[in-house]
Amino acid sequence: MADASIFSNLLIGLRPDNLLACFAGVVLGTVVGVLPGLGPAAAMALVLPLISHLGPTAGLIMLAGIYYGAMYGGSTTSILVNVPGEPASVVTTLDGYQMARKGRAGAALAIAAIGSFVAGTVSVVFLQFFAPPLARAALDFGPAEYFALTLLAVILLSHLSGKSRAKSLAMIGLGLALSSVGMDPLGGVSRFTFSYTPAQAGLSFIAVATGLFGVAEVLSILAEQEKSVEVVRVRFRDLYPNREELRRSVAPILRGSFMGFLVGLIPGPAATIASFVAYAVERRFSRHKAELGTGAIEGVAGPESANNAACGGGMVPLLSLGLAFTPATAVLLSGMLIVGITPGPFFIRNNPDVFWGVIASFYVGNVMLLILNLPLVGIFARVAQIPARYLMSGVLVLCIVGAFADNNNLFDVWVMLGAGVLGFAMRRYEYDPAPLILGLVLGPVMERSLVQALTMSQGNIAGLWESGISKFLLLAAVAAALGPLAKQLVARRPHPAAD
Amino acid sequence: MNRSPAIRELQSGLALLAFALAYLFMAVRYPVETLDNPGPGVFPRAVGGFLVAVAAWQVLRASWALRRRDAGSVRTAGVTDAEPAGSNTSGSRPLLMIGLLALYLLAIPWIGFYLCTGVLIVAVSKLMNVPGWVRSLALALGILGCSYAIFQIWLKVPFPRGYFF
Repeated sequence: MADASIFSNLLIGLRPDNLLACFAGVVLGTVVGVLPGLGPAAAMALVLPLISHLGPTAGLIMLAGIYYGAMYGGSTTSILVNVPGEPASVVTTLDGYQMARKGRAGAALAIAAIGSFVAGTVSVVFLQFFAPPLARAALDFGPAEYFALTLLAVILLSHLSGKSRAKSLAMIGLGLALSSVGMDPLGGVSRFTFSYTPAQAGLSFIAVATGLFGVAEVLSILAEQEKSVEVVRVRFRDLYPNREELRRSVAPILRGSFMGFLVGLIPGPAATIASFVAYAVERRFSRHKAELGTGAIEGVAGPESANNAACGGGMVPLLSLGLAFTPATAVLLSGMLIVGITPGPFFIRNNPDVFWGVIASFYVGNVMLLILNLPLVGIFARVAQIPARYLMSGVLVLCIVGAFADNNNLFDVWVMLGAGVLGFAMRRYEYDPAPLILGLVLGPVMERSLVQALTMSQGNIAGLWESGISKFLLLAAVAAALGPLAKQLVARRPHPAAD
Repeated sequence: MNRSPAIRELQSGLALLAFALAYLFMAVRYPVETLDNPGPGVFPRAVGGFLVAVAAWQVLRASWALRRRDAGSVRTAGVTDAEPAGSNTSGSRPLLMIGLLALYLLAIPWIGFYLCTGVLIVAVSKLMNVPGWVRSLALALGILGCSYAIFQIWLKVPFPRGYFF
């Protein structure tokens, strides 16, 4: 009986008006994801006035469509022109752009779309069956646990490029330092702003990312005076992934889907962290880890799957407990309140038609996104064929508009220019920009959780490792920090056989 | 431009150390308060201390590598002997571009987004060696048209307007 009612409620998602809302949402989300600057939260906020006219089910379907559609689109500019459309797509630039430079942009885009589809579907299955117990488990994460988790993330994820660990840690530190610009998260005291009002909001993530990646790319191409930038000519059949690339993508997609969903359950910038975690896992477990950073398909498949799965994970606390952990889910929460739905444990019981209708739309939306994105791969991949002398003007304007549109102020464009100069210098001195971005994203979360944990334990530092979870995470962080040092020491000891 | 990798490491390490010290110097001005009510200075001090330590380690490594090189050893620990990508480059065009972008940002509040961006695109295309003025102008018009349609009309981004447009 219960199954029959679930099935009939699932069919609500297939009604023409809901399908139309889903289609509009995923298309808008894809466009917003492709364009840097306007994130999914801003786009969802733009359509909020519309949703009261659409009704609860169609309105929420549209908002959710924008949210996961943006994750699909975010990889496009990362792969084609080295400008991440979304924070969660920063990691995709590492291998996606290298693939584009080798003429494999189409393959990278197609794998990103397929990975996103699989991850999106896997996360909906998890969401459908495990939402309430998973949400309760996520609630065990208090400030101390979250501080331990961010510390572990900083140590584990800093070493993405495989070059110098000291340089990666320095970039993480720089990112954390830049994240402290602006008002402090709890007390509201202005820091490092030099009394300049627009800086009080802090440094825009989009401005820093577009500068470090996009503007630095333009400056680097300008600096390559002698050798012209190569444009690899490809045949149409090469626009799509070959059998080998598809085979190599299977395991990273599955790993990324599973981890992305779990990371999505935890408060904070889950999609971004999930993509970094997925990349770090590929560096550790992939059979082709030596190729990562030079244009390996695993470096696109894992992170792109993870950031989509994290969207599904983020829905668990929202739909089961009424808790929004990201700006985008917060807008979705507002949308639920606008249409008269009280999110929380009773949401599923009181509004089964809306809950299952939205779940059904996730399945349908993922199929729509795949159908929309795969044919576009060929068109997008042609963009990578445009000679750099024409393309770079457009990239520069995209960066400027993206940085400006984030908060509609010119200060962010100045930040973008500063980050561009910094990114250019970092390339010349072989520093990886991805750890800096990670530090910038994790900094506010880390500071907030540290201060909250200390306040809750009334100044007792032991409060940071009182619970079993935080103890385990902190021990893992210490092991991750000291492990490579111990390894180096063992390697340097003269082997008895050598004497 | 043909500097050894160890010297480049030392230069970047010193720059990082200078930034870290300046950051820490500013961070100590913010109050720490007490541990049960941590102030805005706690996190910046911790980050500043961490950054100084990492930068100092970077400088030490580079100094040791230089000393070893001077002592006749070819090996430089943790530093590749090969010249990094992009080292055979010219600095004048990127500098021109940075100056151009700074001028562009200064001019926007007076001249407006579209006119300034149009001039910027033409200038960038010339820096990028796009042949002929017609192509540069066409490129500028195309990019501006797309920006206007997508960002201004559709997404309602309020670009700054100056005295002219």
